[in-house]
Amino acid sequence: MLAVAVALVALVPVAYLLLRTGEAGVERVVEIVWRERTAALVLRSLALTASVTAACLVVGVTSAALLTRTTVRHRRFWTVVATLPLAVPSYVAAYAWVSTFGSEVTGYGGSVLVLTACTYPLVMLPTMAALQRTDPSLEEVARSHGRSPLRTFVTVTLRQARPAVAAGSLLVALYTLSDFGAVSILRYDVFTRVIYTSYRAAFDRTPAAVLSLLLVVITVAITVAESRSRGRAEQVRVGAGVSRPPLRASLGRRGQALATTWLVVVAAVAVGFPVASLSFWLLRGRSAGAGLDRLFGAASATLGVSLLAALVAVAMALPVGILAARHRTRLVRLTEHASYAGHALPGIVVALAMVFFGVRVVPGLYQQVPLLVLTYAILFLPAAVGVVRASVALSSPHGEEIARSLGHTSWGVLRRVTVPLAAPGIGAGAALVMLTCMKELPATLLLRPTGMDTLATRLWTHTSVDEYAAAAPYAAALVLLAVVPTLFMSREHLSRTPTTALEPS
Amino acid sequence: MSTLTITGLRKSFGETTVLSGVALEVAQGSLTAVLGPSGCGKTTLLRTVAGFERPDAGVVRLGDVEVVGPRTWLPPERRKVGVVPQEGTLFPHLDVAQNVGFGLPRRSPGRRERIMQVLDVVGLADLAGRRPHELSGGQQQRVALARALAPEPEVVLLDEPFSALDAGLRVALREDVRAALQQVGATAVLVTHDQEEALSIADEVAVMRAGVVVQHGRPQDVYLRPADLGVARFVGEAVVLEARRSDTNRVTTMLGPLHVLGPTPTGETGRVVLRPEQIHLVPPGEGTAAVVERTVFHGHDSTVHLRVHPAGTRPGSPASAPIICRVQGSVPEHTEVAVRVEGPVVWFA
Repeated sequence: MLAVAVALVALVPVAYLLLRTGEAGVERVVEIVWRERTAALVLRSLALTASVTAACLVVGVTSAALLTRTTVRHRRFWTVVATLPLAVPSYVAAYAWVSTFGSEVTGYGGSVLVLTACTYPLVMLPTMAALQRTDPSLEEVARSHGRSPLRTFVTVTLRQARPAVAAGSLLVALYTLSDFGAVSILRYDVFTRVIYTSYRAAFDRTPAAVLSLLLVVITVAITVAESRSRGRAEQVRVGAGVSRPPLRASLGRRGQALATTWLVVVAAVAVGFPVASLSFWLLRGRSAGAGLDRLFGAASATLGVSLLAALVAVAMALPVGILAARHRTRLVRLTEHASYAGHALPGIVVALAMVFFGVRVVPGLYQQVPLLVLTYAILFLPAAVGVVRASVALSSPHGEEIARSLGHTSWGVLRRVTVPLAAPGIGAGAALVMLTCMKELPATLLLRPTGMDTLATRLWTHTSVDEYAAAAPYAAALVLLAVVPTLFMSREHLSRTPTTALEPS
Repeated sequence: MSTLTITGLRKSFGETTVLSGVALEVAQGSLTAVLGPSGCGKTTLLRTVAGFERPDAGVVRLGDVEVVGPRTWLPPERRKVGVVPQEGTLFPHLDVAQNVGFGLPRRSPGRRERIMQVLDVVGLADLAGRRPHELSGGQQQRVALARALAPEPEVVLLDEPFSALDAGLRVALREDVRAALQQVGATAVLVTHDQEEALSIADEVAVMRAGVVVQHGRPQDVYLRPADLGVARFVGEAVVLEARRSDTNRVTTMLGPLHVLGPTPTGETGRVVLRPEQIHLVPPGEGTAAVVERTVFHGHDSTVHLRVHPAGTRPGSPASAPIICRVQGSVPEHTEVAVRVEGPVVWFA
């Protein structure tokens, strides 16, 4: 029951978006959709998404192949460095480039550059994992049949990694479509930016609602198309008996130099430059005298709402996640999928829908902390549900049965066995949700209480009026916050590497 | 501790019928082994008694209390049934004492004493502070047993508790578990697919097949007087011979005239079952002539596979039948031997 209630809450944004669009009348909706401007907008968004995804494919797969399948030097170091861009929020990277090069990097080119630099790890990490798990004997067979190492890699190895590569590319595409901060700072008019400006500029909010719905349709279409195209490929399972580390191509002097140059260039663009630019403005700002009070004010406000949101998201995720881990009935699956609604919806869309919901249903809460926290919770519910489900699934359901037979009610078992056992995983999930909330921009912009500022909104405000030095401390604080979980993730990845290579699964 | 009575228990999962009318009575303070091949429904039976599964029909009584009936279904926590699962399944976040005390009220006065008492019964009193991952497999199973016994349940259910252990440990732990159950006078049901395990530690054996109990009795009776050929073949190794009735309690087989145990055979022809250890190798001429086909060495004894040629038939003719026997000490050096049967056999029409 609780889980169904949570699922209904998660569906509130979609419901209000449909309601708001429906009220406008079919004619008005058709008129907005058929505008020439809208067609141009769709083309721009799709072009940006396609370009970023393609660029990430090249950068991500190449880096993954170098790091897992060659003897390039300092692999561990480079793996950590190559993961670090995940710690740079896209709008912070955009700020770094714009503050240095001004209008030279705005628009399409700059957006492709910044978004690729920020999201290629989304392709690289799953590809690395897949390349480490593929069965080396398959490659040996191909080699013994006379295929060259490179051809073997492309025709045999990469084919096995295809589902992972495709999943990573989907993440990049969805990220690009829903990214709001970077394209706004880089002044490139794709869906998210246009939705925001039309919401801010016009008294009539119907175009914003219609465009939001159109964006949702495109997002869902891409997701469905990806899972369709996967089809058979996903069924290609890696054999269970893999007990040997993957084969690595040994690089000569020239190979080492080339590979290292590649890794250096990628790291310089994705991490080195933003850090350098940030440091420059930070030093500049110190002489100009940045207000420390305001920084602490924004930081504590950010921490406060994010902590609340993490707690609410995990509390909402518990019934859905436990149910999903323990019972696989149709209703449960439906509930779980409904709770994932936030995943398919870009942040700006959810934020806008919650504005409609707030104004209409709970006017007292509009632009108040509770509604902002609820919006965060809906946005990051999928992550929380995933974590709860995975943590609960780790422990055997037999333990719960035994606890029942020893005289404990189902509620008591939940309290004394299920939750304590899953607690470490759930705690880590809550921390992750909290850190994600801290970086959230569009929902915060639309729903924060008047006068409240978070690190993200201050960076946004200063950047939009070209106060780059004043924005620097906020950008630095955001990067520092995000580095922690990213390092943790890449360490996990590294520590897993040798064991998967040695242990027969 | 109470008598456990099960009648007419039925359970289906979708199209698959798992229990089709199970009836079983386990006397107070006795240990009954439910023996059956995998997929016969024995684990589902156990889970239904524990309250982890809801049956479609049937009655389960613990003493005077009906825990499952047409209109009753007690949840597991109100049944007072102790369960020892296959892999122990100790709570990894609790130490041994906390695991054992899990079913005891947290502020009951005698809690600490009771925990030490049952740990003493299973011989682990000095490991109370250990964590589950610091225990060996056998120790984990002992803790699981202590945990089940601590709240003084009406009945203890053991689901293949030794199958995850290696052979040597299995036999030793079996004896200890038997002793612990006897010491507290527990009514216990042990589910297993290992016939040797069932025969050696249980007071009674219930053989299950395709969702019903096909035979229930003392281990000796189940072994020596199987209810049908299926039971005969499942409970130990069986030699099956064609037979013709010659007198009230006598039959003729290719191994000569044999005495039939129990009820008088009906009909003129049928089959008899005997156990390999009833067949003895004797010098040629002192019994029915046989040819050794191969021998399998087990260490403590050997199994000899023989082929018997009844009088009047040539070697290799269709009437010859394979039989096996057990030999201790040296195996026969010649292939031409003779066999003699000792003890009565069981007749199936």
